Amino acid sequence: MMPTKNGFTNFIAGSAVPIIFILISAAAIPLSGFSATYLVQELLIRIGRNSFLILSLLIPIMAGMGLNFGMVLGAMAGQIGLIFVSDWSIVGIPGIVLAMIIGTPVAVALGFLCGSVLNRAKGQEMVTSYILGFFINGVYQLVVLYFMGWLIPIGNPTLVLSRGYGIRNAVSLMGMRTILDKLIPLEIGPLSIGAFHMDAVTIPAATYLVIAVFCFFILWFRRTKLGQDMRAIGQDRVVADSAGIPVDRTRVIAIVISTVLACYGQVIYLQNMGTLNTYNSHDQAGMFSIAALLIGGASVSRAGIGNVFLGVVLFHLMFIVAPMAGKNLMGQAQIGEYFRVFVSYGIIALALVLHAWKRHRDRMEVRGALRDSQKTGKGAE
Amino acid sequence: MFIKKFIDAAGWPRIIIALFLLSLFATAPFVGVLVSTSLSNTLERFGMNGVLVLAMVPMVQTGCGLNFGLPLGIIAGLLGATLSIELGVRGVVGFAAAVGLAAPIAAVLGYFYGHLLNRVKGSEMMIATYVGFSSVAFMCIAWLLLPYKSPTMIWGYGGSGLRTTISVSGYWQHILSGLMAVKVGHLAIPTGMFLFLAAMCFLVWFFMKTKTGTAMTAVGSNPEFARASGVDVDRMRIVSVVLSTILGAVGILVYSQSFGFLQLYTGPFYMALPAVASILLGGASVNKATIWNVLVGTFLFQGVLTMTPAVINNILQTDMSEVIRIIVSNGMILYALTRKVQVKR
Amino acid sequence: MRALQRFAVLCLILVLSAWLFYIGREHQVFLDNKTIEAGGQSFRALDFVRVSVAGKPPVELMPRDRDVMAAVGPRFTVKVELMDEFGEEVERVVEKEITPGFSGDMMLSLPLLAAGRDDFLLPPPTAALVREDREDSEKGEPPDAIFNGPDKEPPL
Repeated sequence: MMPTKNGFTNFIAGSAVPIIFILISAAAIPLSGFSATYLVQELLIRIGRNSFLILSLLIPIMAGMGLNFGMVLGAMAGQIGLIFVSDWSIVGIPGIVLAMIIGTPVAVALGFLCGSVLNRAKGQEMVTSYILGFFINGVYQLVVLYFMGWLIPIGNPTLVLSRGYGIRNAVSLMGMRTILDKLIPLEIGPLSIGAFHMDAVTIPAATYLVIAVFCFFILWFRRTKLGQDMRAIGQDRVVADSAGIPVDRTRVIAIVISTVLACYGQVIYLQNMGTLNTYNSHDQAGMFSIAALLIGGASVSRAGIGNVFLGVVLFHLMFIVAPMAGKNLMGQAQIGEYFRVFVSYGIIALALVLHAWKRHRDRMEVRGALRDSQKTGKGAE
Repeated sequence: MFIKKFIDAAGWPRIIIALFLLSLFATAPFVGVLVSTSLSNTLERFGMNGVLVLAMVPMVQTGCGLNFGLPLGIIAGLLGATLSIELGVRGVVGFAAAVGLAAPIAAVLGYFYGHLLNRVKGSEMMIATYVGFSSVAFMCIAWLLLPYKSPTMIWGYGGSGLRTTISVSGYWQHILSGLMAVKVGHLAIPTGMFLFLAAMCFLVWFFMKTKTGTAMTAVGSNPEFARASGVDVDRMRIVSVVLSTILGAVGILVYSQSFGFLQLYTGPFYMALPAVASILLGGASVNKATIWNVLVGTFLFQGVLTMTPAVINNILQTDMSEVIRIIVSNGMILYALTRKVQVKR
Repeated sequence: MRALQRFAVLCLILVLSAWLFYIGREHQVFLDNKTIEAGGQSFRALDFVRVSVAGKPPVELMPRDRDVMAAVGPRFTVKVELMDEFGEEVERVVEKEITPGFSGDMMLSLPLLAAGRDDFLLPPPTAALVREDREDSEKGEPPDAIFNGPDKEPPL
């Protein structure tokens, strides 16, 4: 790589993903034939539904631990809270808050476990947290599918499989559905700007408020002592360690915070959906959140609040239009479905590659510079 | 003294799992499970999965980490298999055609995949996982669109594209596992498949002894030293990735001929995990693997997988096999990843 | 001191949880309009009655009907409007405040309620009902779906 071209290359590498996405969306929206009103309304709902989950990924990135694939652990904790709350038939806002309260200790425990495991696999955090997600998923299934209704009493028989134990595939959350979204009713429009016309759309204002509070929390957190420590660790673990920062402990805390927030995020997500798919909701949460964050232009080592919102808009725009565009273009909605799965995975792969490539290149440059200055064949680090 | 040596050589995880497996075999007759049938199943599955697990070895040896990108090889294999069925060749020739068509595809895919992995040293495993996933998702679209004609493979009425599962009976089902099969009572030994697996293992072992092979091992154990002694590190890594991908392609063909079906679309998604877990269970680490690790690991892993549901289901009257599989296989991978602090760059 | 603070926060969260449980609990309120024996007397099923629970849109019940409504919270009112047999004129209105507190589902006997007696609370008919409901809602339908069926008399 030529040094003079570096600035431009870095810019392209940094924003390649959002640019590709904007292009895909620009092509797919007219093909899908959806109205502006529909798209805007859907996007408003999905921003409220997903942002919190994605925001929970920011803190481990700050601490240099990469994308926290272990956020599915938090999602599982939230689901356990929701299962109990629906068992006791607590509805409305109290139900949502109670589910979060029950999920919190579970999320803290799982986050602590995750953090401790990741401290034993430094440098391979992502793949380890990814496998840990699978592993805990097995434990989660063991608990929910075999222990609940047997070792753990479940009073409400509508939740339990007809064999007498284990939670059903789908748990209805009708008593909580869109409760938070509709807490503060807000409607805007109709709106007309030139050729662009849009009818009135509703905004899930209370959810947005919660998300806004969370954003301020993150901004504030960065300034605290703990936040500064995390950023120092993210910059350079060895330097941070010699500066007296308790590296391992801080990393565990970062993961615990992320897991707990993912737990809350999942509760918010599911209150909007209105149904809990007991055995796959959490899987999707992890993959879609990470894909969305990366599509927003975040990298494995740097992500901000802006990336979250850009990502959620672009990702879900594609999510909404792809099946319809696939149907209109190829005559098969299935192609659009597969296309969006492909894009979700492909984008994660691409972002990981770009990041690793850049890191590899930077290291090579450092190594080259060292070699030049010292004239010793020994590599850096 | 001998026991201690043995324990050190085999390692505690293997001993624990082996004892667990042994206890399962011991309990089996008491809960009404036929040991000979279970053993046959274990052997069959051992043969089926052996080559897929073997596909881990070259990449681990050159320090590319565990091949979570195995689905790429599997896709090449499936392409070869569908092409051979499309050509309508049956029997041994059909299987040979499938292998012959799959290998070049795998080599080409592996070549590009290897180049990619060379640019992302240090994060191979995570990227391999997602390269595998995205290639599977991409092929989902391709299976729908590719202009296959053979009526055994495409949807009957109204639909277009290939079926989700394609039967290979009438083409080359059991072409290896049925070859010279020995049957003693309920116990069946798929001799042909074992011979094929042995041949593949020998080929890999032999390759590892050649000049290129030793250079590859050198790259894996100490890249700096290898570079200093004039080995082209990047080229060696690409060779290993190509080899792994070809083995993955052959592996899925062996798997399919025994299983009787090709699983397209989302079928290959999670096929890397059991293979990774097997080789780790066999005692491989993230950067060192031998043929013995493959054989021991595959046998133990498939044994536990076959026996646990049979025995546990009979005791508890529920099917917990899926959950146990998830916990055991991912637990093994986690154990390997956290065994020692990784000194990878 | 720190431990004490943590303990206090923990207690606070526990109290909050209990309070949320208290105010957020949804009760299935079964409404039963059957002739019933109580205190040595027989109370005839009401001819035509319109019942509203917790201010929700009312349901109408004929003799031997049973219906279910959901009410949230530790305290809610039941408004029973007794109608003439054609369901046109409201003859009498009985309002009653019910405080289930921490307990779950319940069944109200409308004849007893209308007669102004205090023993109108009956145990809910869950066991028998839910078993049938379970087969129906195998695909995760909301549990009260069967009650919206055409005048289905739940088994008891």
